[in-house]
Amino acid sequence: MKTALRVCGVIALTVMPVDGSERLPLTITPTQAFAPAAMRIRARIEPNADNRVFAIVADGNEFYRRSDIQLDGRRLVTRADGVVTFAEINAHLDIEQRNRDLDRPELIDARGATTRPDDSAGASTRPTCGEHAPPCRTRGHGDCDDR
Amino acid sequence: MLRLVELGATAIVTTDDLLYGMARMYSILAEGVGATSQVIRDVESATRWLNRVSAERD
Repeated sequence: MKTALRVCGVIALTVMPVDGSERLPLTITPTQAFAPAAMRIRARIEPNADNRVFAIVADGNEFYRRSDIQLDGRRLVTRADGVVTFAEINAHLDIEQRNRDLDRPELIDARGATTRPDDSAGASTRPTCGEHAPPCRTRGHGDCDDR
Repeated sequence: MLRLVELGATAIVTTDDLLYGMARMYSILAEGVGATSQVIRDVESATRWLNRVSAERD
């Protein structure tokens, strides 16, 4: 199950004032799925000079996944891994449009992304469950996907 | 969907040659609709480029 589970993370950061002591609402879809499965975690926080790092951690008996995103003012930070499809790019733009983030500068870290489906099969060899692994997909401001 | 808003500068970081080429094509197409984007191979350079472009726009 661990090797079959592809985890992708998407983190994007916008519009709710949050510091380390506040609860941050997360939206996770789907809430249940059979492995291998993809899940998307979304969080929105307001860019603030006092916020330096945004981290989402999923920790369980047989699973550990952590996504860290450096925050940088009003800039959007997006990380992508695995196969990136046009539909995903369009969905990302839709989210940015809904959040009124399209006019913000954005850094898309696609070092872990690929356009070749064969490469994504190799994703199963990457550290996933129970191992510390970098996030594999981060898209958009306010969105954090673990897939 | 047609997006009638100004797009912020976008820096795409990739070390994959194929993805680099495809991102470059996206960048060229995006220029056609007034979007500023750049494909860069390391995060540090991308950050510097974004800072410079943001400063020029401000």
